[in-house]
Amino acid sequence: MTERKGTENGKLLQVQGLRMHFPIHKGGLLRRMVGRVKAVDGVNFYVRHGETLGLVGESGCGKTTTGRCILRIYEPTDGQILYREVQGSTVDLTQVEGGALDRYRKEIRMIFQDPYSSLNPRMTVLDIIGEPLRNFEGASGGELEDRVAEMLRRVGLRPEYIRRYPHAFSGGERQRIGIARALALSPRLVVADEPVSALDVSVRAQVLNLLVDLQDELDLTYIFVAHDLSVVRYICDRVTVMYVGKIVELAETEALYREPLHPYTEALMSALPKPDPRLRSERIILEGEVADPANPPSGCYFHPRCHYAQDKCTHIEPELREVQPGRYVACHFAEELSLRGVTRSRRDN
Amino acid sequence: MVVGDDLLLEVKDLKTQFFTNQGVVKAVDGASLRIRRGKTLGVVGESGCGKSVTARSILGIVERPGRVVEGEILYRRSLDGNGATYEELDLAQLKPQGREFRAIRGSEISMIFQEPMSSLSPHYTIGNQIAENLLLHQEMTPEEAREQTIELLRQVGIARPQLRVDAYPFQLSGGMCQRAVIAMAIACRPSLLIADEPTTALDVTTQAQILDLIQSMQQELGMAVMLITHDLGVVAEVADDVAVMYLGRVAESADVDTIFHDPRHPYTRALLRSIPRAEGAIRERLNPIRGMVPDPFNRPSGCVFHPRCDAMEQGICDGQAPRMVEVAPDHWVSCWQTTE
Amino acid sequence: MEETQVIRDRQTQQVAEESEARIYVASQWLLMWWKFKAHKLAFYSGIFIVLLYLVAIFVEPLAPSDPYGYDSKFTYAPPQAVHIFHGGKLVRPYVYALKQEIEPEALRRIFTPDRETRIPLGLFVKGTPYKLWGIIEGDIHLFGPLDQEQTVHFLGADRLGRDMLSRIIYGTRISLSIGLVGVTISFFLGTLLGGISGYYGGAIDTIIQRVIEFLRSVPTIPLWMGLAAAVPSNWPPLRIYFSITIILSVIGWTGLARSVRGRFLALREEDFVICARLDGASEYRVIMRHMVPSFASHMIASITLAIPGMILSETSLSFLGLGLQPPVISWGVLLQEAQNIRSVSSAPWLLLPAAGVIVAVLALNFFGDGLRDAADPYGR
Repeated sequence: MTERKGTENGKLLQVQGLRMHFPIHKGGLLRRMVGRVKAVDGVNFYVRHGETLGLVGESGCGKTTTGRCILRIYEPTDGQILYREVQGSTVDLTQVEGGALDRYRKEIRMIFQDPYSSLNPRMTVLDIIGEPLRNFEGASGGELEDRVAEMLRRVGLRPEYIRRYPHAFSGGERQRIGIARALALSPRLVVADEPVSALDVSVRAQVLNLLVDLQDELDLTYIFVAHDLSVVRYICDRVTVMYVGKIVELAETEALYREPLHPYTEALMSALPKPDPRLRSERIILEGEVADPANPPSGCYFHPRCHYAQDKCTHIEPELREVQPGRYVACHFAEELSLRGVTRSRRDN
Repeated sequence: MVVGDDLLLEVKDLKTQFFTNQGVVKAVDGASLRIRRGKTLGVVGESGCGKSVTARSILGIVERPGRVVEGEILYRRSLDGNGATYEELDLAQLKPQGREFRAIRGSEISMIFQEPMSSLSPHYTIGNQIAENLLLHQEMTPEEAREQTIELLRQVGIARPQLRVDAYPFQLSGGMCQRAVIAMAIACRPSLLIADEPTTALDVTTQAQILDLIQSMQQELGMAVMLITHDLGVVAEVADDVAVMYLGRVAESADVDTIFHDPRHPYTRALLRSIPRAEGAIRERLNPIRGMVPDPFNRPSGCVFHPRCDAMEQGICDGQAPRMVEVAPDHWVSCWQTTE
Repeated sequence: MEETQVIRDRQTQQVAEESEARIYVASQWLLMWWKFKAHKLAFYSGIFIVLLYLVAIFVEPLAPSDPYGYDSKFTYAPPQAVHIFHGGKLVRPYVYALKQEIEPEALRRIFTPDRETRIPLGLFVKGTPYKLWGIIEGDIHLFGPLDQEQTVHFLGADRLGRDMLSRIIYGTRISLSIGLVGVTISFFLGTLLGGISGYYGGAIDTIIQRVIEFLRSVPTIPLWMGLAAAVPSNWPPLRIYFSITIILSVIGWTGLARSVRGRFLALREEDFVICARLDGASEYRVIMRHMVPSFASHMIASITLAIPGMILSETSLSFLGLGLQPPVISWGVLLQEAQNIRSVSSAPWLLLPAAGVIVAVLALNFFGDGLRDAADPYGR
């Protein structure tokens, strides 16, 4: 299953030096800026056409903010987002303004995390999925209904449900509606922001399968934001691990899980509860809490919690380096450490 | 066989219902569980399975318009410290607001919830709230309570407890709040701690810390833990026994190894097959459970799982609800197909 | 036996499925209606309010006598009770005529029921002529004495012998409608300014909010007194009427503005609003199609709850002599008559207009509460 249809494996999107700082205001009448939340603080990565790139991390790591910057929901403080268009030319999305952005809003779409707040409870399924078709392509009447019905079928829902309101559907079904809305215009790149986190365990499988199927059918490229490492393994070709606004590791999924190169990645994998009591092992328990993006530690952001930290880590921030072909790590001691990944178990169900 | 003095709490055929404007919701419809003294029972299920309502029924804190309508909740209060002699109370018969129940709640049986921020009142310091629990249930002066609170905070791993004792919940992170809540829950050394999705709202690394903490507290205090979660991984890591719930009933209950390696109920099997695993193969196809969790107002007849079950047999499974049968020592299943 | 159980379960399942389908395609308004109906107090209050407003519309035929007609023979006449039994038998409703005596010491008129003389009553009787809404002529009243020469005061008479019941009925028109006009003005002002404030934020928001706070901190009664005093008393009553409503709206819009602003602020961050923008909707469409329906129901509830405030304000102002003046009839103006303790102690029925105010305000409050509870049918 790791064989992907090799359309052209060029870079579809490249993010360089992306920074997103939110100002913190204090005071009444004349608000002063007293600090900044560095939600995303210098992020570099690229996504190839047809692949799925995972953005993984815990709360405050900046993965959701990165996704939203790509869609220009937020205005990035700094950096470039280079998007390769169909004709082959590249455009920096951070420089596109106003109306011109519409063109890219058709090709880059988002699937939201919360199936309850991402659907307007006062609009019918037809209205919700039809909204992008109405606005971008001027569809209406019978043609609109047909296209929406087609999308519903594609995501595994009955077309008769077109007149229903979101409260008629369960979480998993709502998420399917959200997926249908995202894919209605046949986009090229889809940012999926934790699409299964809010769903029941048994429903996750259905939605994940659906996403994989649709990717093959419609030749989509995914940026998959998640905090759950077990989900990421199923759908991502490459994975980026983020911590407090920075990328700490980027690698192909298989390689990452077999042998992580960054202590944080190791801790994340170790903390993951394995659904098999026979796999209980000594887990790495990190000290302290996830660092505060408004007030990060000096040097390497992870050093206060790192079991392998040394003096150098307190002062000098490590750069994201390519230590092996295709493997990037931001750690001073990446080459020396020998870290534990996730062991493969023999599935004996 | 569960030895007499081994069993701390036994729930028998519990039925808890909510009487709403749109009809009666049978949130728990005949559930039976066994919690052993000093051990951890993991209660697993998806949304709508009734696991939270079961926990609240045990503690008599089911919100209106719900209430316990049938069943027994047999609590074996130890009279000598190790369970050899005990007295048995049926908690379902006690008045929820009554003095007897209030003496048990918070001191002998405690509960911690999913959202640590909302479990703590924002108007009082954490020290104040923990001390309140102590002062309510035990004879001591406020100064003694404060001393003990600081000690409890230290036990749950909060650094510089003498400073933190005067902190307000909004000044602490989610993980620290949850630790404070745990301190409050174990303050009176309960014999049972009910944890309702205690780590769902936390980051993975914090989750590991909190689970670790609960386990060490359990060992130190010899208390039983009823851990409610939807995460099978968490259950595999910390539980001794497991009960799998679906739509208000217990589908299967056994010790943890049996549940994961010899599940008999079709729901348990399907659930185990459907979850993504970190050790799985990349882009391997998952096996979802067919269909959807039904509407609580529209419960299927007979075995509630039958519309989604691959082993379903017409005429049997959609007719009568199956009873729980002990298919092996301490392994209970409620399924017509398994127990015929 | 088991089979019938199974069949019955399947049938209930089918019925449940059908009723479910209704819910699934129910718009928010339908859901609101269902939820509202379940709230009995609010529902019956709503019916009562409809009846009240019907009274306000059909004031002329409903009032048994001429509200302006004074009669010195009946000053401070007491209420006359309606009887339906006579000698143990059910008869046409009647009242006893009033005997009058002048009490020698205080020279007060004393009325006692004259059990010899009965005045029969009827429905749809001929009475004083009127012009419905000022245009349609008529003289049929819903109820009254059969003989139109007879005088009947169901709720007593005032200082000038004018019929209280008729005056109270006429009062509903002004008292209930002033609330509506005032609230409509508040609605437009409040929504517009609150919306701008919440949607744009920043400096505009700050300015508008400070203005609102300033207005709210001014003590209301002195403010009204000042504004009412500024209204020239030689204006025709109608113009005074509208001036009063505008005065009332000056403060009234602030409450709605704050609540609209709050909603806008909350909605701006909702996923589905962000999504609407990503879906290519223009700002106008995002506001009108996506955001406004979300709080339309709340606004309706707020407005309904603002009406009683308006009614009370008008009543207070007129009671103090700062609002409407006689001969305009509103409950507040009627209560001016009840200002001195001597008249009230000898003629307590002068306070009955207050009952009208209380009843209307309570009903509107219950109704508004019910609307507000039903306003968010999606409460998770």
